Amino acid sequence: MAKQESSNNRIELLHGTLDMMILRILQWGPRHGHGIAQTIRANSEELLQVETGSLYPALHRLEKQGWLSSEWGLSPNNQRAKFYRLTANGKKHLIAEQSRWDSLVRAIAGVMKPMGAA
Amino acid sequence: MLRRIFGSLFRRSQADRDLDEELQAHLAIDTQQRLEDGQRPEAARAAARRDFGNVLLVQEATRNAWGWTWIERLMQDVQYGARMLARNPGFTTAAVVSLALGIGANGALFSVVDAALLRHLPVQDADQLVVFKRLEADGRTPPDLPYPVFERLRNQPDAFTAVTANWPIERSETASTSGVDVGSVRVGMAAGNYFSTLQVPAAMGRTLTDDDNRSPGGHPVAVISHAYWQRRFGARGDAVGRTVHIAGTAFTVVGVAQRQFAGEWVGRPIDIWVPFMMASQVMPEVPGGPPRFPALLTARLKKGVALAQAQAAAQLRYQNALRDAAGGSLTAEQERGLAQRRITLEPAATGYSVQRAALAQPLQILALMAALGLLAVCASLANLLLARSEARERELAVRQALGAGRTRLVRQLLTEGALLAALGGLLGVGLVYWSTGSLAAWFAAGPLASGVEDHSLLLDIQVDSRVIVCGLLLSALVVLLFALAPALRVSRTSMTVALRERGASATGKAGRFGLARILVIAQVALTLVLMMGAGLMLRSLRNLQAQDVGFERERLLLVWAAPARAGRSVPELAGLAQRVHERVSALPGVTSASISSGGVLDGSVNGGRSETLKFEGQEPKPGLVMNSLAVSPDFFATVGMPIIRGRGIEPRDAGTAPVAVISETVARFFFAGQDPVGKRFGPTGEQGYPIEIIGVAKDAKLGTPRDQRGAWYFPYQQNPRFLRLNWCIAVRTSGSPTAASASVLQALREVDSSLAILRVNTIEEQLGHVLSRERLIAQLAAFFCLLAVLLTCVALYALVSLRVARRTNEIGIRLALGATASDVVRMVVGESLLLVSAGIAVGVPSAVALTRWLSTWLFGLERADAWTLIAAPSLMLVVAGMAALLPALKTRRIDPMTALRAD
Repeated sequence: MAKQESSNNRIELLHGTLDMMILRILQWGPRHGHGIAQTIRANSEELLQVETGSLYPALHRLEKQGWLSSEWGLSPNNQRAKFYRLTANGKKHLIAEQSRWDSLVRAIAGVMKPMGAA
Repeated sequence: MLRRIFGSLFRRSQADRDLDEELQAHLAIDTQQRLEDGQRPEAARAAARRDFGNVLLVQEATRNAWGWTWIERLMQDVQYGARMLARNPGFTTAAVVSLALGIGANGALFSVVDAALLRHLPVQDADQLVVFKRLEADGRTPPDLPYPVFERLRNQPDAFTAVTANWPIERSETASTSGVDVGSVRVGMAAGNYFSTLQVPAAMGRTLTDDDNRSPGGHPVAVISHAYWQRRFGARGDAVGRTVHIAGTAFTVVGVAQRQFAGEWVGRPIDIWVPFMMASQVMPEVPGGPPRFPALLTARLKKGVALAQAQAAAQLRYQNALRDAAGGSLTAEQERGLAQRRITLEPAATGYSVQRAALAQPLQILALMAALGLLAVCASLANLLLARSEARERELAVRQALGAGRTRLVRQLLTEGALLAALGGLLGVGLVYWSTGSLAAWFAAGPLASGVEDHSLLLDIQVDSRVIVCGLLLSALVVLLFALAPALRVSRTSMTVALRERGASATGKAGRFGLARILVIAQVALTLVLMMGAGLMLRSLRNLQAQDVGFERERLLLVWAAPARAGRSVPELAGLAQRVHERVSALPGVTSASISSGGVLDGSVNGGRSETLKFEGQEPKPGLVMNSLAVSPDFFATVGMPIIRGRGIEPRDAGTAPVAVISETVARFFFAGQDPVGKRFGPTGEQGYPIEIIGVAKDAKLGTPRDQRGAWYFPYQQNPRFLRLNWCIAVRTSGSPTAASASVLQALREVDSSLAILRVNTIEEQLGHVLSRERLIAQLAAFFCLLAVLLTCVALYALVSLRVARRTNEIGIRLALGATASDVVRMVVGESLLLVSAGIAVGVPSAVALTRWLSTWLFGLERADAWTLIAAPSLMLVVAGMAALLPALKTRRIDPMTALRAD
């Protein structure tokens, strides 16, 4: 249930790509929901701002599917929060998704190439 | 998956709490970060919350991802539905009760029809079974064939895999070899291959085999039925090996038959099977052993053999068998006669039954009433639900405005409807179970007859799951259909319209009331038909009860006995009759006593055909059914039947030439106008006219109040074989008959303790028995009629109330323009009565058609009974008028100013 993006700087995220990004981020280590959202924002130079209404359903869904595991822990500020971590299955799924994404990007780039270029 | 659901539900609250904490943590971390960035606390918190979005929506979205929200929603819907139903107890009760009654009545009825007519015998491959019947010249098909014929028809490998025989007989069971009568049992004398042909295994022990049928009198073994085992031996495991005494002989129980199997004669369940070779022990009064007995032949068709084929083969064998039995060489005339003898095969998948034909019409009537009742219930339910949906329109619009999705609303309404259907259905099923007991008892209680015919039917009525499922589906359909109506309407009308116009003008939304009006008209029509049916049945019953029975009803006690069941021979029976007569007549308080074979109001309907008797000076004359009774001398005086010509039967008639007393009907039929006293008659087949007519008795109802048969009476000493039928010992008392019954029974016990007493009652009680069928149908008709009237009134009340509520505005205008309160009331009631009249107009033709269909059953009424035709519609109008009056009266309280200001 993503809110309709009104600003031109924000791009609507596709369902599957959000999942992929979450898994990628967690590859770098366990994080809580807020941390994941922040990381996405930071790495995309403020272009991608994930709504909590998309993030948390995605996190819970990924956990249900077995690609993430969760546990309660303490944030640096001693705030009790739920931390998510990538599972072995999740890693496998991420690799698969990533290669699919690369193929997609290559395909679209091939179409968008300037005309006349061989 | 189920475990996951249940587990999840328990962990649900925990998961909810976790989620809450997780989201709050997100907010807290965000707030903390902003504080570190330098924002002020309130600004930080506000910004964090803004960034986060709607917490509730996020929670809901996340919960969706869990995947088990559908159960939670279902539970919510169920709870909500239950609350809504509880808030409207009137509506809920009416709906549930009508559903229950509709399902219950139809379920019970179908179970009965199934047990009596449709159900297959509880044997394997029942479709293969056929029963042999003789085909007589006049079309009758009696099922009995002589036992020696069976032995010759036994082996027919080309047509049948097996042929078997059995013969049921009512006997007395005694406590020991020469003991007191314990009760009546039905004994089935069976051939050795009976159980194997029907493929009925034993539940305990073993069944009979051919080894048990080798030598006459040499196999005192018995197989008992499951029901008898429960009744007599309390379903104990040690029943095998115990002894039962039948007609003085001891039989050892070797097995218990499978559950539910009680022979192939539907309605006459067998208690004990014994080998056919024991026939003389079971019926010692019949000399000559098994060859002298009849048998009911059942056979299993070979696979692939057509019925016609098998019948042709069997026919040939039958004629050969008859030829053998007659001794081989026959005259030309005998050959001709033999060629006429035919047998026919009938499929016996549903068993064999003689009572089915008699039951057909009562069952049809009951079925029709139940069906009409169900229709009335459906119409009523639809009306109720429609009315309710009107009332809820606003509520649904508000909920839509608050964000409820249309699908969610529809689902909720459906759940509510399903709850209603479930409640009503459960109650209905319970009703079915409860009523089958009473129905079975009713069918079993038929009047006793002379032993030739028996109108009772012992049915094993089982509640069939098909019925229940059918009923539940039907009710669910109706409920859901009309529960959907508001939801669909919601989607069509604009929300704002519904919110704004709480009550539209009467003309504006007339279309919506159209359906409700049609339903009310249909209900009224149905109710009218039921009303007329009930009225006719009740009047017919009254006519039957008031009929002149032709003898003195007061101070008459009837004792029904079955002395032949103990296996007495004919001379023994004659001696017993003498002793009983002397003893009972001598009792204090007894004016006189008599014995007759068959009695008064004994429920019998059959009899001999008039052409089997020839009267001096006439040709045998067909066209009258004749009942014949063997009586003791003071029969006419005891019973109170006047002799209008000649004299009655006296003690001196016992030893001399044969005499008889005929009834008025017989006198009129054969001797129209002449004096029959002194004339002679005799059986058509024999020489001469041995019997002299000594008197004419007034017509009496020997069978039922509808009895139109002729009758002739003769002293029992003349033909003592008639004493083998059930006896009616009539006792005329000086005081009350019931008070004398104890001493009469005591006297009978003293004369012979093994005499089987079947029943003791007064004439009124006997009349009640005989009319039990009519009584029940009249009662049920009245019940259905009342139900339908009640439902119609409720529906009318609801409809009028709703319309009044909707038209408050219009009424206010009328009042303001000068109408009085009574004018308004009259207007409302008048419109309702118009509706009811339309229903009556529709219903009357159907009701008249019903009368015509019922006319064979009804007694003493013309085809279009004027009284009922006028009374029923008038009653309907009055009742409906009152139902409409109540809400109409509420309009008196309407204040014009408030009404005008109303939406």
